[in-house]
Amino acid sequence: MLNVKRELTVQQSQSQVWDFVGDMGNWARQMPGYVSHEVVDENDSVWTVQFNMGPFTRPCIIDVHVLRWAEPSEIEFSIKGRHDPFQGHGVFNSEAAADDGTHVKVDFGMEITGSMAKVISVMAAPVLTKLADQMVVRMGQSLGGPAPAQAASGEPSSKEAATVADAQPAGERRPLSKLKKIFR
Amino acid sequence: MSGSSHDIEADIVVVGTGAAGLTTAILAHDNGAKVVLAERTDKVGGTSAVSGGGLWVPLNSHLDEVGASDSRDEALAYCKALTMGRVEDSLLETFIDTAAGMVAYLEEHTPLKFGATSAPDYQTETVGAKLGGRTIEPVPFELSELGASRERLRSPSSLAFPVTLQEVYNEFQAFYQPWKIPSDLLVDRMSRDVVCLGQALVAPLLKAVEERGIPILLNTRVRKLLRDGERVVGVVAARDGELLNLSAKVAVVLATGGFEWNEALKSRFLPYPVTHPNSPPYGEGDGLLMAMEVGADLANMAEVWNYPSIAVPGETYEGRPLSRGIKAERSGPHVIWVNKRGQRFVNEAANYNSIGKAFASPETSEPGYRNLPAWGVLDSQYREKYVLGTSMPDDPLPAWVKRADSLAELARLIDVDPQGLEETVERWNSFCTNGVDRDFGRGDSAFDRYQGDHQAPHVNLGAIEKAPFFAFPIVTGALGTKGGPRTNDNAQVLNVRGEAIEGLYAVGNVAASLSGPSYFGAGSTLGPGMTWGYIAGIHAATRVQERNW
Ligand SMILES: Cc1cc2nc3c(=O)[nH]c(=O)nc-3n(C[C@H](O)[C@H](O)[C@H](O)COP(=O)(O)OP(=O)(O)OC[C@H]3O[C@@H](n4cnc5c(N)ncnc54)[C@H](O)[C@@H]3O)c2cc1C
Repeated sequence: MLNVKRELTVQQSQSQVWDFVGDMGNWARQMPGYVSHEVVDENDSVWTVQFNMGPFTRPCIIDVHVLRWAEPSEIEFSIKGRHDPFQGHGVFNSEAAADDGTHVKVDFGMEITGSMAKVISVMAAPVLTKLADQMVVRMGQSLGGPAPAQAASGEPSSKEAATVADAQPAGERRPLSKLKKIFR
Repeated sequence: MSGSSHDIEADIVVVGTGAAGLTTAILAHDNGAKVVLAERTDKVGGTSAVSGGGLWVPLNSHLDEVGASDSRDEALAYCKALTMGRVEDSLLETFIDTAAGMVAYLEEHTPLKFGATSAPDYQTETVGAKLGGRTIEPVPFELSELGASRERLRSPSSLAFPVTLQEVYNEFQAFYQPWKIPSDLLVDRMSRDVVCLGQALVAPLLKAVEERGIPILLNTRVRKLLRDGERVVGVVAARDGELLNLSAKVAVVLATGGFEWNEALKSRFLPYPVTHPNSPPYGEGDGLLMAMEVGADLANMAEVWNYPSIAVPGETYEGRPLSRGIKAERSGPHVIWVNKRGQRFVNEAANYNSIGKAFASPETSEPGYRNLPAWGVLDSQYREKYVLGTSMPDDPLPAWVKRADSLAELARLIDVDPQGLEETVERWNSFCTNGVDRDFGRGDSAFDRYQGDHQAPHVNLGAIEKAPFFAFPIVTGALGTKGGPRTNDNAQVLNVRGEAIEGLYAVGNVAASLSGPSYFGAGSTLGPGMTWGYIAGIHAATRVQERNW
């Protein structure tokens, strides 16, 4: 299982954040490589994304299903590659913060399945980290940017709470930094 | 382009940083010349870096590692038979007499090292053919040895695993079942930044070039040859919006690869539409055009390194469609290829170069190509056991694969004649029962059998009988083109009178290939390409010495 956790504090209020994330199209558009999405019903949508790994790109259709909407703070969801062997589960969580801002947390785990799972997981880990980083930055921008306290102190607006490497056996940590270069 | 110009001077300007160009540069330098390499992209390695990295080298010093032997007579007889009188004997002889020396030189003087493979020649029943040993490959290479230059190395065109050809084909028999390659081995190699195949070929060559201090001008696209009278004395290149004159006291060596990405040249010269080259999209025929401009004679222009391929829709490399040569999906049991009539048209297990020629076959009663479009048709026995493109048996079915419960329904989905397909499959299944393909002889040759599934009851034949049935589109891929300026035994470009154009050499895919219409065995593009690079480097450098005296 590959895990990523990201946190950020944004300027918009919790209810504004909820309005934003309540529309699944808004999440989809934050995804780097977003091509299109189709809303099937209130809990289901289909995203088409072009994954970008250095000079190589590959399209991917992802079925996204919301398991639980807990207004105003929590959304639990699952994803599944329609033609590719992976699935994932995530929780989006928000909390009111100082100055009418909102603290947002995303906790996401993904599993590559199938006979090549172990090897593909090593290859996919840096891609997932990069996607998570870019998605958080975009989401922050769409939600009014980083809260003033963070921006003024020069702190990064997104915090990597746990890296994908945490989900890897010790012996597999080293490749990640190197592989990141391939998927720059 | 601003039009301003800067000058760089060298004895020899090598244009292109594939394996042929890098080898030329190393040899020219080692023989006393001041060399500059120009490369149009921001990466070193060209198609060579994304390739399988195999070299076909008769008489190589690694033969005994796989218990093989070779002789000059056998190699020459084989090459002559395959080239069918369309290539000068002297070129074949020069290649056979030089190739092993080229390998030995690079192994002694650069970090590039090779190992043997058991890959057989591609036409195993022809006189002089060998059942293994003539194809060698680079040993795995740790990219950390390149230091910061690692960033200059071209990345593979898809998610290539760090595994050698010999491991895939022999050690793990993973040709049909990639999951047989131990994942611990792959993960360990990835963790150590170890590369195999084409990257393991180019990375040590790049290291050797850097150790020698040979400058590589990246993002430098050479557009024109400069001449003084008939003699080539340099090139004009475009770099960062400026023109750059690279003057060459002694020689310009074209090593720019083929023209498989130039639509106009392809439609002028190739006998069928090669829509999906497998190479990075930079072989646009620049070297060919420059050579034509100075009066080069041309040869072999209608020949291609054919490689029928699968293209996953939407996959790209450097912004252009990516395609992958078809491997398991043609040689193994339970799969056949058909045209729109639903008929087989080729021995699917033959070498990819020969198979590709079947696409040039014309319709006789209407405009068009008899075997285009083409489809691979398989049954669930195949799907349950073997890789299909990038999809493993337990993966969800890719969108580019059609599925149906009957052959007639499958035929309708892919716009193929249903009756034709049913009849073809019935006939095929009867061949499988009897163990002989009476139409195309699939499985008759040792080469076919080498490529088959060695665990199956018949390595190449298996009935298509168990629903559901599947079909995938075959696209016309190519490793590159193989026609271009004619060259002599010194790799000098010839004019239409057969005289060397002074100061101009061509090596690798830019030049007319000495394999003519054929493909000797795995590595038949890189082995000769690097051998002519070796020859050109030495020959041109000798001219430098002559000038200095
Ligand atoms: C997937 C794949 C696997 C393959 N496996 C094998 C194999 O195992 N064995 C084998 O023998 N062959 C193999 N081939 C074929 C082989 O890779 C090529 O035939 C070979 O690399 C050609 O070498 P080259 O040096 O002539 O050209 P390249 O390696 O293509 O290098 C040409 C270079 O010239 C540069 N260039 C082009 N135009 C200009 C210009 N105007 N100015 C400056 N630079 C320019 C290009 O950017 C490129 O870097 C494979 C090919 C593919 C795609």
